[in-house]
Amino acid sequence: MKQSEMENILRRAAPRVVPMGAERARQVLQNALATVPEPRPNRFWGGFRIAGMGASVAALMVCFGTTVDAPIAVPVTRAVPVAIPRRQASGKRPASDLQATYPVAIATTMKRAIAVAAPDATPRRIRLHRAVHPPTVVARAAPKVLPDVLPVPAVVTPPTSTDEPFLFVAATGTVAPSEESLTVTVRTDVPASVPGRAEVATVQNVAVQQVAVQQVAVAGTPNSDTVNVPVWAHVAVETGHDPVMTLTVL
Amino acid sequence: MTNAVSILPDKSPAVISALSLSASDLWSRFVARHRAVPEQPAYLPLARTGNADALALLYADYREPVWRLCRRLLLSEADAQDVLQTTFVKAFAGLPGFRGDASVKTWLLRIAVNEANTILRRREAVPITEETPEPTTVGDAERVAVRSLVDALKPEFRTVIVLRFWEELSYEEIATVLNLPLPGVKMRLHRAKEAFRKMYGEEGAL
Repeated sequence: MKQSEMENILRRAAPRVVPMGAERARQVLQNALATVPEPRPNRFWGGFRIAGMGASVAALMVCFGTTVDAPIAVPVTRAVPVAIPRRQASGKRPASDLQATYPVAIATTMKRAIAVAAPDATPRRIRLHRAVHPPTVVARAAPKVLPDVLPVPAVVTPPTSTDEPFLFVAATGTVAPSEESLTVTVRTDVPASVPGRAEVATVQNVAVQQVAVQQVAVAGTPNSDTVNVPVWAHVAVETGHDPVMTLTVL
Repeated sequence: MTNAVSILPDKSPAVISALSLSASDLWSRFVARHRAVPEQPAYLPLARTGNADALALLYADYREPVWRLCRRLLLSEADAQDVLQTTFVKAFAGLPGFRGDASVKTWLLRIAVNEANTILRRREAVPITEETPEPTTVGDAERVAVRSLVDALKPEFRTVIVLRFWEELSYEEIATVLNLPLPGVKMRLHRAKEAFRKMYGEEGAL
């Protein structure tokens, strides 16, 4: 049998198929359409939608994510260990070594009323308050910048091994003894041209209190005209440039 | 005088095999490589998005070819209907991923053939004896006998015979439907015809 003859036999044997009924065809279509998911949005606009969500999140972070002007400081109750050099007289130690175990709070602007109280045995409580002479005592300090800078996340949580990235800047204000409370404002005044940032973690409430008590206990001259109140500021510098810190005692 | 073989580089077998291609082979390769993109229905982009109306148009256009193939590949009408249903369910779900390299009809037939082969393989394991040829499509005794011989072939042989002689598909279309290279299609068809010829001869030319 030739090839063409066999192929003709096969072609002639093709069965005729009865078309499917309309009702059955409609049922098949409905069943198939029932499995189709919802129409998908265009991928082009889908990309824009994703980008828009990202931009929204970024805008929210810009608006609410920064805490530069946050009035309330975040307290970090962990103590900062201090490496005190050996064979060094306590009077010659740097001030940072003496004040380093105070609780650290991160803030850029802080106003806090400080009550300086004498020991219970002291009959007279010396309380300092409000402004002194002159109304603004400014101690401008250009602290020495340490070579090691602190990464940004570690600003909030200072390293426990060393406090080298922090600078301790001391300033002295004059407070009248008749005042009952003292408000110390510590702020950084870094020019905009300086890259990076400098944050201030103030411990002046503890420092002032202790020093004031010491002043009272040591000097014992509450009737004098003025009482010197050392104010300590805990400054973290990241810029590599000399920031200018202003301590204002109101 | 320089020998022609001696001047060939080290990779002479590959060169010789390439040069030994006939002009028809080269032409067929060229045509296959530069084959134009098959024309697609205008509603296909809308159907890809899941539009119900476009999908209904697609179903209306290609329902009959798929149904005819299912009916010819499978003896049971219920099986054919199941395959048709599954084919369009999978087609509607896979339309967004349809690249358009082949025509929609070929693509649908490929899905249908795969589904039919699944049923046929299952039937090989569990034969159904109650299946009988549909009486409405029998013209005469020879047709019935030939169809019975085709039904007795292996599924892969029967599929290629149905596609080639009953559905009148070209070799390229069959290659697309069966996901085979063109020589593979020709080889399978040749073997199918040989198997049919053998059975036909054993039957005493009917």
